[in-house]
Amino acid sequence: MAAGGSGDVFDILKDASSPDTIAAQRAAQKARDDEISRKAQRRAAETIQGHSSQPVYFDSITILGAPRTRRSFLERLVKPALDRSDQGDFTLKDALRELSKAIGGLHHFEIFKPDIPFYIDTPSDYTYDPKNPNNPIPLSAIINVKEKSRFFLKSGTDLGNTEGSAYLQGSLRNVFGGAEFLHVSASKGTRTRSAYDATFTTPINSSPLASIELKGLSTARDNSHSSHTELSRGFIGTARWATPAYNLKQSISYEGLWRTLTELHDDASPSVRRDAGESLKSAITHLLTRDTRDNPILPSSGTLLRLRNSIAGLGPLKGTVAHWKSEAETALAYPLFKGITVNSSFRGGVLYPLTLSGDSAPKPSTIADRFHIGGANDVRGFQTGGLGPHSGKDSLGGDAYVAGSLGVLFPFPRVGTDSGLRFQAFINGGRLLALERPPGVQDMNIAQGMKYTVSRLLTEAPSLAAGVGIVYGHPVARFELNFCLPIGVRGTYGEEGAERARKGIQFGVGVEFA
Amino acid sequence: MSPQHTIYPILFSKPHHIPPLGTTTAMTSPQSAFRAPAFIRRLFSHFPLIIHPVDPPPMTTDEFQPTTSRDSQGSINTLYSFTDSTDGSIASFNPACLKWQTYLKIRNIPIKTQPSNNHASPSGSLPFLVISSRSDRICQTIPSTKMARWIEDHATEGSVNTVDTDAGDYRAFLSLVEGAVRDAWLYALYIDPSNLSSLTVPKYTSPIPLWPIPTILGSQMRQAAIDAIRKSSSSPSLPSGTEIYTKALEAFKALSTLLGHDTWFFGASEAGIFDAEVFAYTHLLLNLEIEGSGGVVVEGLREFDNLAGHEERITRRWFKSPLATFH
Repeated sequence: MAAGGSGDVFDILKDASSPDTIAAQRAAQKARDDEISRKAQRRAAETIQGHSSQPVYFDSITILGAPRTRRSFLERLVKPALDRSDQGDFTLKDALRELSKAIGGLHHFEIFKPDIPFYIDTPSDYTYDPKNPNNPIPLSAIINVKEKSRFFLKSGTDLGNTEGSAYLQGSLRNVFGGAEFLHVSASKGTRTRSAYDATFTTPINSSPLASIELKGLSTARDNSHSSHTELSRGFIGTARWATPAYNLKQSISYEGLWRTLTELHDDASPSVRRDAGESLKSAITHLLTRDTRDNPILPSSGTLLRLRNSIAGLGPLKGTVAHWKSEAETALAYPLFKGITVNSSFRGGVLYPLTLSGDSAPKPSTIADRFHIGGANDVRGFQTGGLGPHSGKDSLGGDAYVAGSLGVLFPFPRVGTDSGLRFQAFINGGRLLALERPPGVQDMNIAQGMKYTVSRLLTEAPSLAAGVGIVYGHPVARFELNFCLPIGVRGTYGEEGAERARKGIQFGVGVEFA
Repeated sequence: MSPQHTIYPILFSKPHHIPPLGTTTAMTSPQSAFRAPAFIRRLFSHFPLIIHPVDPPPMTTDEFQPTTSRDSQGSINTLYSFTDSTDGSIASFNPACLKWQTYLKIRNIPIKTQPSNNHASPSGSLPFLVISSRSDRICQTIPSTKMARWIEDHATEGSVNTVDTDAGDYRAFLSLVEGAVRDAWLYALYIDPSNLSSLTVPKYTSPIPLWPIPTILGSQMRQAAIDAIRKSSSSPSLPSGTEIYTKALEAFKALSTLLGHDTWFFGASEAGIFDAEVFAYTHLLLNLEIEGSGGVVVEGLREFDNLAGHEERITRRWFKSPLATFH
């Protein structure tokens, strides 16, 4: 090695190639570039600002870089902008707004890479006529997209409601060039032991607000709280649409599911054994959701309303179960002060047995269709399916329920409200009843029985639990660690038919918390 | 016990428990190995503050329908089997179920039947018995493997039929019924396509008669029957129908000789489990409208007058006859 005075040169050379130096040089270069581009943008913005009321019209809108996307699909996306321009009374400001709407639409379908640049120019054969400055100026807009790769594989872990799962998903994007997706996925989880499904979605009429989804599935779900495993395979077809003005989302779906209740535990109760085996549910469901909450995982303001109505087995629907199932859910988050928020929710539902086509009278509901409530992210302080009618250790479910919760969330001291960490104190409860014959009535009249059951539901004290705990709202799921104590429970521990409460620590993970 | 139990609709492994998951249930519960500190236990002992009375369980189909009379209190024995009726004196259409139904009747134990399927059974196959008592709502489930023992313990009077079920000739005749006769039954009803589609599939899939489920279950049942016959004949290839039917007729001949002019098998003074075993097949073979290749066995069986008479004796005495369920 060279010794002595020549060291300086080497040092400089060495320094020049050191990562730090390169990074510093790049940062300086970037800062200069940014500064130039910022100035250019500001100039452009000022120019546009100065001419925002300039009358213009679209001579053309060109979308570049979409060879695999259908022309008709893209045409429908830019058509509103062209139509608006053709109506006249169209300024540069309007043009920019319409363009950004069209680009927003392109973004929505997730078939193009984000950050879509666009350019506006006048057609090359256009010459500005300074004598008539109010003549509309023709514009040629160029939107430069990059299509995302057509096929992708994804694997990972998911946290759903009180369950974790690992999945492998293969997707085909933009299948027919109209933002159609085909997803095929397989997952293994803790409660949903295995799930395989293939889903095809397509927007309706290039609209970001309406879509159709077709899904074939096969799942095995562990319903330990009712001592069985439920296998389902079948088909679900869904049409969705949104009304942004009212924050409304709706869907109508048809499902045909072949269900098998199998792998009964040795100590399964006779009720579960009676309902074991095959059934076919053929149902139409309408779902309406209005959600104005700022963050569904950890809301601090806003409301949620969800109405779900489902008809199974009636008339041409066939199947082997017939019922009308109706559920309503509301939630409210209200900010108090210093990041303290009040959260409350209230929900309820009824399952009304109907007469299956070909039968003479309605049949009672089965365990697979009845409501099961209770659990770490449902009614806390109770086990999964812990409320309502039980036999042995099995939750038998009920035909009508109400449940509600009231909680206060406090930010962690010094951590603030941005962290997603909160303390909470809550009281929650519910009541779940099987359809009952009013006392003294011999005939089973469903309407009468339902009326009696609902009146019991609303007039009698609910089962209640309260607790305190820590909440962590992560963007993908909500984690709760609570210390719960039951306040009012039906039946004592070990008594036949008793509800299953949980004293002490309860841990819940999920996307949806009641 | 009965090799019949591997049939319909799907062979599945014995139910196994999924251990509770840490996220939901592995926390402190009073009876777990981990003992909470004294003050926690003291706190827990105060909760819940209020205990309400328990709610009734969901109604069963019987309770739901105003036309059926409801059972009085006392214990009710329900035989979960392949049947169309809850009336215990209407014969099941499955030989394994019919055998136990008949033996329960012979031993004078009152039963109801409950239409069910193999998924419901603790052993993976029907039948099984549920003993429930209305007064304390406590239930007991007896799989077919433990039914003989249970009947012995609970029949009101001791058995008059004292046939030694451990004797060599008893075992030999039993293996004729459970081997040759059963194989012929399986071949005629599950493998012969005419009976499979006109009789077996409609009967076993009557709770869920909608396309494509009967077709899927039908092919599963057929495969299960093929596997069962292969297993019992211990040859890698499936024996032909003629071979199977010939063996069955030889078996009936042997049984006919065994019965002779006696009323019950082995010269017993009262019917026993072996009579139920034979009846389960002879009754179904003689009363179901079996078509196709299986007709050979039915015709052959009719030739043995004493076996047909034995079938008729049991039907007259314990069942609502004749079995007219296949129309």
